[in-house]
Amino acid sequence: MPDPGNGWGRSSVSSPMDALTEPAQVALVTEPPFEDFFHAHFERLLRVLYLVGGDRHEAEDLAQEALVKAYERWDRIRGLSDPAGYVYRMALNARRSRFRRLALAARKSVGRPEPDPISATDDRDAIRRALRTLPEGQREALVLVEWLGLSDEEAGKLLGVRPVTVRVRISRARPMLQEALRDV
Amino acid sequence: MSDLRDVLEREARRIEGAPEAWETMMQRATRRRTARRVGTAVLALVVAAGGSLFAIRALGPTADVRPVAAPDTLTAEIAGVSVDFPADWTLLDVRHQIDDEAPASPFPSPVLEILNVTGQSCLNARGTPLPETAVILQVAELTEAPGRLPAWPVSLERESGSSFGCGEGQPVFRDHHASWRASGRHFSATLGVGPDASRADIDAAFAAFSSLRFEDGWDPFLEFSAGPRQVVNSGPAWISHAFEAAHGEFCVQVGGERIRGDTVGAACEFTVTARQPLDFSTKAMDDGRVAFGAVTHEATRVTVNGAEARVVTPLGRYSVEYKLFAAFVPPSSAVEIEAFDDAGRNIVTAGRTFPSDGSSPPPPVETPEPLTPQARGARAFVEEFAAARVDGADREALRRFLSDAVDTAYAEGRGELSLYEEPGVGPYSGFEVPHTEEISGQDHMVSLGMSVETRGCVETFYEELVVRVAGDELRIVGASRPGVIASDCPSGRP
Repeated sequence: MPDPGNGWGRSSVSSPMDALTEPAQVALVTEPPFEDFFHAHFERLLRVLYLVGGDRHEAEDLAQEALVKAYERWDRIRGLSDPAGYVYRMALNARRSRFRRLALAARKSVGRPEPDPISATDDRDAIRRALRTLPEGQREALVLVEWLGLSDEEAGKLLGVRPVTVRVRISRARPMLQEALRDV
Repeated sequence: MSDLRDVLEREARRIEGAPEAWETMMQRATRRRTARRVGTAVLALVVAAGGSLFAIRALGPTADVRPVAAPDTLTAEIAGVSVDFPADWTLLDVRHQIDDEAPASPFPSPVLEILNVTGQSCLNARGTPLPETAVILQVAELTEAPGRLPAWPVSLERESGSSFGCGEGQPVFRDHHASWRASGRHFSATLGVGPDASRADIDAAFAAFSSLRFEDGWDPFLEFSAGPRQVVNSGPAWISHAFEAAHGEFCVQVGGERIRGDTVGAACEFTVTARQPLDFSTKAMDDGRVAFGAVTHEATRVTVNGAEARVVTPLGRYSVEYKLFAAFVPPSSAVEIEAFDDAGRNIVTAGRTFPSDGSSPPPPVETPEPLTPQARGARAFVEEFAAARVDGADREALRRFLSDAVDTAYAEGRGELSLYEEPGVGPYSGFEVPHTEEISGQDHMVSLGMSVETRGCVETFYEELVVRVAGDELRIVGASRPGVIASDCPSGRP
């Protein structure tokens, strides 16, 4: 069970963005420097994106992109009650945005790509393939709650859905994943 | 469930962050900053150089700068906000500086920024380092007011202990704040004063703040901003963004805030194909709705119910393909949108009739044919919904009903409704009632969105209903045609 880490703001009841409804002002120097934040969260964010997307290169790119943006806005973000939540949400939003573009591209294409026969028989990819059988929303909810250890409420805030939706998604994802992993 | 957690943990440990990840990220940040600096330096120099009239017109569709009586002062108007400022200062139209992938939220939406040096906006901390003599005045519009704000004019107040930086390693600026309402809109301003700023420049910034004027009749919350992702519109409980998607399509995201008592991000999405204005109306204020959408670039004029709509062109810096339009419409009227090209030819017509508060008959329910299996499922839901009842006629009851209906459908595994009856159809990957609003005393507009997986590909549908609450009964009195708004199915499916 991974440690959610400091700065996650477990007990926070407000959205990370709530703090930004105040006039643009930034607290000074009492928060940790960005480099500490980066080292505390980069790998975990990378792994969340990998589990959700199944592509290590895409995960690396998305994690870097999200943290670059966080770096650029660190003066504002560091004062939030939950800066890590903000960054995770930004990264997952970016991933969905890419996913939508890919979906649109697929619509324009003449057919769906054939599965790679080599990777399809590679046992090492079995877990990744099993995860890919889950719908997008279920996969996100499962990774955030089961692996990252967030509560339904926290995952719901991060995904922009209600906690009950998170619960439903997970309850559907679990048996599907277990079935897909039966022979692993 | 520890087995599942172990499986995920095992998979997660297959990748590790590269040792040079921090350096890689910093290099990436530097590249981004350099790219922005080039573009913005050109912008700022042109604006600051006195040839401002042309420059600002080119950069901001509604910005207008002109010399006033005193030759050393310019007056600018951006988004219905006018300001007088020293002619040798820099004015930036910062409406495009909306976070392109940040979660939708009603944080201050930047409008303008003036500063006494040539430089980058520091609003998003992306600029070049500002000197310690810099003075910056930022004005932003609040899409959601934090309580009752005082009416304009107000004064900038120093907040004890408050200060801000303009990027890491940059000088610390003491700052002053003010928030106010004017012309039906809500604003905030921040004045940043560098540690070595001159008294004259500080006074000039205060004078610029005092000179702010707000255009009467400017459409509240009806603002376009340039950029890859833009706030198209927003209201007390929602905000919409527009951005160009792949293959020349244009996407509008509507993100609801605190819908059904919770925060919902990007609750609904539309994809608008070429030549099709987005026929979507919503309530922007207490006394009306806003119809807004996008038309292709050849449209030079757009009318809504015969009246000229505000048209902004081009759409952002990266697209010349689409123009946005918007217009206020009365709460219960029909919405007829027409677009015309240069020659005055009508190139598109779209619209929908909402039922009025009783002065005109409700529109007939459309019965679109042919329907896909998914669309038939959507229709089945509509019928089921129509037969349902709520306790009471109030809006909260309707809201509760919708929320409970969806939750119950999920909990009981009925989220699929009748879709499973269609061979090869299902399951849902999403089902949302993202938006409801009262459009008259008893009529409510309800947005439905659902994603359905069919033989391995996913189609997302969107439909708008007009629901009339009469006593404890709900009745569908109008419905748009269920439309596919996104799909990853190959052409011709299903």
